[in-house]
Amino acid sequence: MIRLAIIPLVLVAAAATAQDHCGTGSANIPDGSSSTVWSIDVPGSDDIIAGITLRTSIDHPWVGDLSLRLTAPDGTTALLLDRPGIPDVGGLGPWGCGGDDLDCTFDDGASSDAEATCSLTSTPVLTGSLAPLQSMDAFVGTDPSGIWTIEIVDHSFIDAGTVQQICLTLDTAPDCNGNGLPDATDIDGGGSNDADDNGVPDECQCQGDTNGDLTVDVVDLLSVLEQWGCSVECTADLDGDSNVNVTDLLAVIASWGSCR
Amino acid sequence: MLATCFILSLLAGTTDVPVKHLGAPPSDLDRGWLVEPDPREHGTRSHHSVHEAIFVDGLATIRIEVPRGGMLKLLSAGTGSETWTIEAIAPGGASHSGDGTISKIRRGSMVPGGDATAQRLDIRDPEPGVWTVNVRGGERDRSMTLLVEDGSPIRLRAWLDDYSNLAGDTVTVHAGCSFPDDISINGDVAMSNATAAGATMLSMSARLLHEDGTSSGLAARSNRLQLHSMDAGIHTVIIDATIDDGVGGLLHRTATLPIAVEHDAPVLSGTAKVEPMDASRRRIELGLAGQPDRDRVLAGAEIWATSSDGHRPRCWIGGITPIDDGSVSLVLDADWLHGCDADTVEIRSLRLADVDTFVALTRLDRLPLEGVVIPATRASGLRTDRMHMGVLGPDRFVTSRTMHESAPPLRSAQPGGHNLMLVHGYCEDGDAWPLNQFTGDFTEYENLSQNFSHDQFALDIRSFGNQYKSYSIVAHSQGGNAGLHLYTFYWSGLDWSTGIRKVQALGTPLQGTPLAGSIADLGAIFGIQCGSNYDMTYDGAAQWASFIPSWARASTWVWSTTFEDGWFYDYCNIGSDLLLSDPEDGVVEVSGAHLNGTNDMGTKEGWCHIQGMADPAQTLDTNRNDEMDSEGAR
Repeated sequence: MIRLAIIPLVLVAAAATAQDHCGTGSANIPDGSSSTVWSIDVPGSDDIIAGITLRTSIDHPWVGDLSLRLTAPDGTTALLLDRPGIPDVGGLGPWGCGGDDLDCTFDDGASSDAEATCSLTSTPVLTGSLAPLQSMDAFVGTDPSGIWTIEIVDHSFIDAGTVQQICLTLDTAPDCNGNGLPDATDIDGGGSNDADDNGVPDECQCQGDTNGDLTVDVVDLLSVLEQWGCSVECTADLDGDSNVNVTDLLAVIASWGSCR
Repeated sequence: MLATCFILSLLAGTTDVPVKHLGAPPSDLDRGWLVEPDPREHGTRSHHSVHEAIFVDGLATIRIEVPRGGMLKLLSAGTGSETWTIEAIAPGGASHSGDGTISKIRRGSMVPGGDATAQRLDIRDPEPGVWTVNVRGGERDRSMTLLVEDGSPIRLRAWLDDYSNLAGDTVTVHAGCSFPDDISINGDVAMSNATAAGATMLSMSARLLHEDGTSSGLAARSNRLQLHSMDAGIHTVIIDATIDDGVGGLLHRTATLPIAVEHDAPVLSGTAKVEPMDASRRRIELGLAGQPDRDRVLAGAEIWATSSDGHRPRCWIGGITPIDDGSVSLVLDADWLHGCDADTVEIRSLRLADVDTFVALTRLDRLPLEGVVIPATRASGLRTDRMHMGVLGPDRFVTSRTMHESAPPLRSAQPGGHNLMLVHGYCEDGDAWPLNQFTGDFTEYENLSQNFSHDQFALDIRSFGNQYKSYSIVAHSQGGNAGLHLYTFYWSGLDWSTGIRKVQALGTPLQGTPLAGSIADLGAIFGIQCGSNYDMTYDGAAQWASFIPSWARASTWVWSTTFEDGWFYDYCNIGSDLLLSDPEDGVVEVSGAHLNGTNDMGTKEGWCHIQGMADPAQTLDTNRNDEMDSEGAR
């Protein structure tokens, strides 16, 4: 019996992957309303951003002087920190939070707000996961590729600081239908069907194509017939019900022709 | 009317000032530091007498009893006194007018900071008996005041029954004699000791001094007098006594006792509601019966609970708290109660006091606290600062009039900087600190000729300090009280300063000075324009200090000075020398300049309180200034 070489159907559904991308820039933060800009080059990818956090390590004796702005390659921007403690709502005084240093991760999911976190005695004063002033949601669903920038401004004279490291952590995921949402989100949210439960929205698949040549033709028809009754590792099991049967045959017939 | 008030408030400017939630360990109670003081141990004490006479044909004559003692000092004061002559005639007829052997004339500024000069006749080993003092040169019908120190160690003391004096109350004042060694013990006991040694008070008269300078007599019975239906305010009682010294001599003493009477006391309803604020902190809302006509009080209370070592105090809590919606609140960090039975927690010895006079407005002996959840593990961990001061945050504010918002910064003191703040004292007329002796970043607070309560002074410093990110305070005289008050009760740039010396205080009446009260009766004569200051009296200081926890005291460094005890003179000022007990710096007695729990940097001889005294002003000491400059937090 001749077995056809079977090529995995398509696109294997990829889970979101997290990658760190660390930046470069001048370590010195100029004192008094000047800024330093750090850049992070994120290599090209077909995937989109599914999640984003920014890890910062900055030495500064008065964090209330500082603001941080993150800008994506496409110009999307978010003000993550804006002189914590100013305006004075917590009794910190007119100069904001006077604590030392940041060693924290800006994360939309954090329970504590970076702007409202301050302590007289803890160093670094901003530590752990902290929610940014403006949400980083706007970055989700965009293409991560390109140069990201982080602008750090010291708005007051007297105290100066240095940047130790800034790193973006990007969760990226495929978006086969190009709708700006990860495939898994489409499927989980019901926006896309995934009849074969392979994690790839059906609209991204060539339904009757058993050999992955993006054409449904006699080779696929023969494949169904050859594997008739197969229940394990069956490339012709197009509907994923662990049984190559008439449903699969009908799927071939229904999508006959080129998927290109 | 309301519109006018609104406009005035806008012009004055107000600001919300965050207050600290104070906490202190039970050891502060064991030491007696946060316990309401016993008025019998304070009050006032005098080793001088005050006499008055009118010039007739250029002569004013006063007769005084003089016991056997070391030195008789006679200071004549009044308008034009610098040109008067003074003569003292001994019982045996010998005349003394400063001939340089037995008697000497001292000249100098009449009182600290005063422009008028005066002369004092000092007589060594005076003959006991009745002396006649003749002062010549005064204008007809002008009055002359004679201050006398006779050298006897016996003091006249006067003290209150109770510090909680409210408008309409009857105030009871006691008086008695005391030896110097007993000066800080219970006045009744001190008097018994004096009596056992033979010293007895033979007679006493008293008068109440009014704000316009007039006075009215008070009925004194035995060693006690009462003032009925008092109005709110600071009242001054002056007591004159004749004392038998027990060794055959008579002597006179005049004591001045300022009394603070408050009004609008909040009335506790006896209810307490406990609510969680976070993992460890619990807000205790104490219900009030009605809304008093005051917006804040100074609170303090002991927290007791039962553990394996019994039912004991576990901490003290307190602070300045606004009166909101018919309640006042305290904050308890339940970490103080670790290991205790939550069902046994109670408040004891609660005091609500006035923030300016510290007079107890309301007291409550004990009140059970239900619903205090004690964390299984200490939420604060080793973060005792949380337990001591609370947590920065929008928890609790009081409104302060903005007094000192935009003073020009000095030299290195850029806005936003970190500075040493040089702060002057009460009724300053300028140039308290030699700026050229400070080389690090510093600024100078200056608000001249003011008579602030400690609280007003502290808020004024804070208002000025808001132009800087952080600062510590180098303070002279009352500035030290104000600095410690600020650090204790309010969040400010002091808390952001880096370094351990938050407040460095020089010549500060942490335990009061008798001058603060004497100014009420002698200030007009001496030319002191700013008036008496209750917070700096012995009584005011004792009540104030009873709200200052150990952690705040430990952040304060304290220096005192005194005159060079030489052969030529042994005083800083010829006038205040008669009112103060040695050693002293002309304004503050060394014993009053130090406070348990502060960092005692000692007493240095050869320096007086301010310029114009016998020795240089204590603020001019380059060595100390160098140290304060380099060691102060910024």
